[in-house]
Amino acid sequence: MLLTNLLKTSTFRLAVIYLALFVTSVIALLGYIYWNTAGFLARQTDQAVEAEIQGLAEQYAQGGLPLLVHTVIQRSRDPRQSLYLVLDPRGNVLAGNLDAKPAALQGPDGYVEFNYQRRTMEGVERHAARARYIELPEGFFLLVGRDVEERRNIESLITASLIWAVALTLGLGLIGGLIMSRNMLARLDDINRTSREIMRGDLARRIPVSGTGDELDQLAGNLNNMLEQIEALMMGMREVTDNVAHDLRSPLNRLRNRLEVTLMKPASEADYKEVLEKTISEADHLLTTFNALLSIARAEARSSRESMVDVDVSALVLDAVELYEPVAEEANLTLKAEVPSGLKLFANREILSQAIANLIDNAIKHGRKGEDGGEITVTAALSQGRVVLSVADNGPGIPEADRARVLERFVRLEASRNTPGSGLGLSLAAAAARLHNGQIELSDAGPGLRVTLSLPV
Amino acid sequence: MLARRANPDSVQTKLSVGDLELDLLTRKVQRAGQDIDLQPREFRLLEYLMKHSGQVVTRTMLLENVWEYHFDPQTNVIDVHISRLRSKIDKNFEEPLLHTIRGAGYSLRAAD
Repeated sequence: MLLTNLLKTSTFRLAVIYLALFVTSVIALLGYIYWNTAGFLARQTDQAVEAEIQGLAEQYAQGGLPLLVHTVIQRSRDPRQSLYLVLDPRGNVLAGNLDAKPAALQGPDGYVEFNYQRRTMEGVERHAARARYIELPEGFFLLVGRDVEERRNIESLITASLIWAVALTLGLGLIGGLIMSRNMLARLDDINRTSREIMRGDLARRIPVSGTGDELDQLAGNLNNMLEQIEALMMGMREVTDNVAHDLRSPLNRLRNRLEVTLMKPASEADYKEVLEKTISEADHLLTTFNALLSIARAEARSSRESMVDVDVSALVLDAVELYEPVAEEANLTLKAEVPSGLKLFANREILSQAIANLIDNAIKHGRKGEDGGEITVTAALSQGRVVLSVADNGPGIPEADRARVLERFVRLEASRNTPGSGLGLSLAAAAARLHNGQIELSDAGPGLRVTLSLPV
Repeated sequence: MLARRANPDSVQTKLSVGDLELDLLTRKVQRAGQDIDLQPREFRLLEYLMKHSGQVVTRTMLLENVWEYHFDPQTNVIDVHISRLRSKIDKNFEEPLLHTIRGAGYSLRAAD
């Protein structure tokens, strides 16, 4: 995982934004604390020094130089941290506990910060000081100050902790941001890697779900569900294509071989004609299969839902019965219809009538053969808000184990291998049931097969 | 047909091919003067064939125009309907009118 990738993540950017806000607030907080502690101390010192120097200036005004020198000498003895200095116009020290005038004075009066040598019991120490100085009348100089070494120490302590706090916040924030980004990136990388593998053709791959149920897990779950559906659709497609290839190859081969054999030897016009007629009939059979496949595709297409109208189901079923009646009669079967008039359904007329026709077609092909008493019963009824259509024969029926299978495309049971047909009739009926949000059910008609379409009104 | 061309305004109520006649108003069918009894759908089938007499009519055309089905049934149901109709209009007569065009469909026409 590249660092640049990490820095590009939205998580990291978010972390940086929060970090900036956090650092700003830390600085504001510590700045406030600083102002309230060190700043307060400094202001207090300045106020005290100001008051004292004003007091001394007043004494000078009232009692002249002797009183001032006297007071300063008195106060200088105090071991506390007050600093005093009185100089005559020539710069000689008259009183005070400083050795000399600080170097950095600017102007006749003001504040000054300087270092001085402080004599303690351990020896001489260099201390920081802050003082107020004024020029008295007649050129005398007065300075009152405080040792601010301790205050300086507190200040630098606060400054140091401020810097440390900011540095620590920045450091921890960056590390936290990087870790969070890395976790996020790792999971997104999982999703990306899986997607790429799926794009390369491994449709069985799934995105790992961490199990925390967070938004990434939900995303992964949704993507997995989507993949599940795509895979199922692909499987269906592949199966259909395989079946199409398999079921259409043999008749096409047969057709081609016959034409080739005919070309190889001289033949009369009548022979050619016969071969051509056979070829046309086989091509017709292939076309029928293709058309049946197209019908199923159409029944499964979304647009079929949009072309639904109110359909008179009674008339539709009776029309189909009428269409097949001569065929049934020719096969020595009785085709009976028990259909009340006026059954209505919001449906796709084309697909529904084709489904019914296919069911009757199947019943004729697979019903009772070669003996009397063969019967096909077509019924329609309204039951519990559903239009229930059924076609039953009294032939051999379908074993229960095979019933689900025959609804699939191209599935033809061994028993009917020699009957003409594409193996698509029931698939279309099943697709029609799905299109109308209904069910298709195969059951035992005792004897025979009953196919029931149950479609909600 | 010539009669129709001569009077384009007159509504044609009778169709005829050879000695076969179909009356759209009375819904009667006669061949050589003999009444032929047809079911309603057989009547529509014959009407369609007669309106297209001399032409080749495919099974798909019949399904679409006589039954209003826009799909091919798996079994050739049309063949059976045609053979039924044929048994009614051609069986007892010398000259067949309803011809099967192999691989294509059917044609209703009188001998030249």
